[in-house]
Amino acid sequence: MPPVLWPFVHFALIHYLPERCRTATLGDLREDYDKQRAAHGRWRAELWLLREALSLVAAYRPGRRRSLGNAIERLWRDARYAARGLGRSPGFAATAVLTLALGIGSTTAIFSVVYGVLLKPLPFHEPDRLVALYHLAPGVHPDSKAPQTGASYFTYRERGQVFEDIGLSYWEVLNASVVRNGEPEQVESLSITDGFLSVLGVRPVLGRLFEKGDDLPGAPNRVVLSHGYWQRAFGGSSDVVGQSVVIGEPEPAPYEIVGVLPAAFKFRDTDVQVYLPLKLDRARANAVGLAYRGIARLKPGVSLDEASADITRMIPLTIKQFPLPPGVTQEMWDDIGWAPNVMKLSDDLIGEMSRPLWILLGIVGFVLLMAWTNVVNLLLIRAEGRHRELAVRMALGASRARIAGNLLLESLMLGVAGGGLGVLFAAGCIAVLRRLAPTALPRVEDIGINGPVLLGTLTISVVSSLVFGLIPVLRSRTLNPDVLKEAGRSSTDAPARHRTRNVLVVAQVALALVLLVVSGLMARTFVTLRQIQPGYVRPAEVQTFGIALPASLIPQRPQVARTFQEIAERLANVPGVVSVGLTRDLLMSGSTPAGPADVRERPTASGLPPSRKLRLIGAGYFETMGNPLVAGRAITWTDVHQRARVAVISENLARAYWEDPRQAIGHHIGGGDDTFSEIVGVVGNERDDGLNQPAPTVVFAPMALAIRNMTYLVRSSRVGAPGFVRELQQAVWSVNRNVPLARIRTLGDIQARSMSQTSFAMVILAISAGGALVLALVGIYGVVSYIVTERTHEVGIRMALGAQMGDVRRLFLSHGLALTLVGLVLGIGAAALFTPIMSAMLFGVSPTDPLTYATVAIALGAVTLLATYLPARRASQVEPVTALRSRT
Amino acid sequence: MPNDNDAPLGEFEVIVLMAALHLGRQAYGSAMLDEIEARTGRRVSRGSVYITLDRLEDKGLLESRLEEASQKRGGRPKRLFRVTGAGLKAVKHSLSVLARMHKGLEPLLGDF
Repeated sequence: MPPVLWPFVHFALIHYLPERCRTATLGDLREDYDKQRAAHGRWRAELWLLREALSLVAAYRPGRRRSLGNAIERLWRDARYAARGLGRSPGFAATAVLTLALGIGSTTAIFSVVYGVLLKPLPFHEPDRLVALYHLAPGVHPDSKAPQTGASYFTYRERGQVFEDIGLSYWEVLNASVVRNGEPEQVESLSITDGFLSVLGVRPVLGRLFEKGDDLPGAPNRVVLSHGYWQRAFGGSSDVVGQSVVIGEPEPAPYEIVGVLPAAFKFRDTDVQVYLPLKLDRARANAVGLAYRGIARLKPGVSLDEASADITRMIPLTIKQFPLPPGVTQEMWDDIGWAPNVMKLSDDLIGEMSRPLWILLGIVGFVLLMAWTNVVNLLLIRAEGRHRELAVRMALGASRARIAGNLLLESLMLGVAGGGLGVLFAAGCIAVLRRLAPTALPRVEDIGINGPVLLGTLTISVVSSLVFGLIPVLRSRTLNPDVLKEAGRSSTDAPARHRTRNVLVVAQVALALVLLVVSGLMARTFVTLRQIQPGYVRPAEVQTFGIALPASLIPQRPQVARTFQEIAERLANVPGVVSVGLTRDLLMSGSTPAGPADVRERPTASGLPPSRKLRLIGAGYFETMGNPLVAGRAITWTDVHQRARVAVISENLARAYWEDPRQAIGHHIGGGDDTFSEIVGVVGNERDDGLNQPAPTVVFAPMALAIRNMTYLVRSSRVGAPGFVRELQQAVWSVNRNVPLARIRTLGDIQARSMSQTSFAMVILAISAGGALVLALVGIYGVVSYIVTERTHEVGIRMALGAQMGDVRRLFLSHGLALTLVGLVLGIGAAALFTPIMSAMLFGVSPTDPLTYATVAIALGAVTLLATYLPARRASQVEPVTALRSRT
Repeated sequence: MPNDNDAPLGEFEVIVLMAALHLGRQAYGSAMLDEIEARTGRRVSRGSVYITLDRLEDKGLLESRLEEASQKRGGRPKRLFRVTGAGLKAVKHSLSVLARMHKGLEPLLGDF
């Protein structure tokens, strides 16, 4: 049997040995290997073979000139030389490495976020061909993502020419109650058409996905489970397919489990546990009911424009095939202004976070820029200090190329060390950022230090070290062995050198100012957001949780609302509870439905009523939120039980029609059909779309008797106290033992989520600005100190000639002050140019807010002056005699 | 003079040439390595032996020929060496240089 290592040995010897002895030597080795193996066993023989082959390679290698081995050996020698050089000035090396680590680390951290969220391909099959299908429908839908209707889905799926297939899901994830072993449980469910999962290219780990026919009305009930739910509820049992579970959607019924999804499958950062068939009835589909998200897989080679064109072609077909709902005329339908909005699925999922993230990356890049400036400065100072050393080496015969190589190697080592430390720093930052990561930030679990991020860091480290390493190299070209003649004293200062350093200091002050202004603006945004009136007060004192009363527990509908009321009353009796309210959709949860609503007495001219949010509530909602009644009364339990046609409207809605909100009372508001409710009250506005979005107009109506899912709000100063939630749970259970509490949070958590994008940006910017400040201080301190040291001799002469301490101090202070002022002015200009780009991230503060600019400029000016003052004072305290003796 | 440059051979070169003389018709790389290790009692690296063989051949002190391939060696031939006349002279010369240097030092170094 041939030796395991034979291929390698063969390759190496063929490569290194001269022709005449190759085959014979291989033969010798082969013969002796067999002897070794017989005597010592296989592995000893392999080791022996390796040793013999290496000895041959070592012997023959030097015969080939400029071999790889030689180059490596020389590189190794140079690297050791460079390391020794750096080791001789540990202060310089440490400062440079730490500076680079700060710059590279913060950039790496943000780049890992950008990569994980924006650049990493979606975990679906051929994600480039996946698109999200929306409409533009300015007449009925406020934003650019108007959903699909049943009619559009059937039309596009049947008549489309560019789609491989189209899948639809219900617009929102809903709560469904699943009954297992007689115990009800709330799980998140999503209704989807048969094509939805197969469009994404998902392969089930067990069973199958939905197939054609599963989503037909009247088809047997079937369900696909998420991997997590399968593990949790069924212990990962492999015979789950074919079993039946009772799911209360819309009414409790048995569902047959047909498949289980893979663990890696996740869509839209939701935690959907059961996928139900979305059973659209083709015979009853209409062209106006906007309720569904569409996704599609394009045929290979089809562009977004072609897809849009195909849909544009099909939009008129929709109403040829499907009826308009009653009361909607062809003209009204045309006025809606239908147009396709096809976007890449990745763009849709990432949404509006893309721009802020790139901006943040850009801003953090400034820190890297500052770190480079600092290191360049340090290297310049060092290069001057080494003038003599380099001249001596040249005089001893080192070539310029060799010296340049050494200098580059040195900065490469600094860069790589800084990069390595930076990765550690970044890992720490990422841990913090992931905890802070806003809910608005999709794909948080994809953020981390991985191959592409490391590659990015390595590139930054190497490229940056080569770039800043070039500067001392360029300086070494002006080297001249004549330096040696200058009897030990360094050449007097060249103004050019000072100019370079001054420019670097000015740049640093300017960059620091930009970063500080940007983070100052973000901080002001944060403060402003906390000060606005969101439709509630002291959110941390409001506990919220969901409760569902499935038909299996309470079959009669009127009894459902009574049970909700009874639970509310028991909750109010818990010690410390101030008030209790109910709503179907929680504020800022993104699930509050919107629909057309108009005032009967003041109809809109166009005939199509504008879209309003509709919030269904029980008694005590406004009181618990702390939203004051502007006029009239609130909604009561009597309204609920009597199914009274009453409504409370938000103040901005009232003001849209009347000068004085009180005038709204007694008028009627309602939807497209002829049902109108009497306006009985007006309340303050609610920022339902998030704190930084304008408050939408809201209609509050009594919860319908058929609603079985409600969210409770409990206001108490005891929120967060140990045992409080348990007491609330006991109160609920005292009414019905079988009701679980779901989604237990405080209103404060919900507000924090709404502010999380701002908090996230603010934390990143604060870290960057802090880093920038430190770097600017180090930079300016370093330069002034250096100048002071260099001019100590001159100071000594001046003082010997009678200059006062104050004069000397002023000399250096004025130098630092001049640099700072120029830096500040340039920085303000740069910030004014740059900050408008980030205006979308700001709220309630102008990108050129004078207060922020002034505060930042003064603060930065003050600290840089301090950084100048310390070395200036040292200069003024030198003894003239010492100074005159000093050799710089 | 045996060499172009008239310099005596290096110690290791003499050792390799003498190993070839000892082995006679059976002088090839591996056998010479074993011979040297057995007689000198020290480990020598295969690389230094082989490259020395090449160098001695270049100097004309050795000549080599390939013996027919054998299955035992993975179908590869043996490279057999033979000391040339010049090689023999060179060994003699080196030894005589040593002998002349040795003369008179017997009280200190003893006889070989």
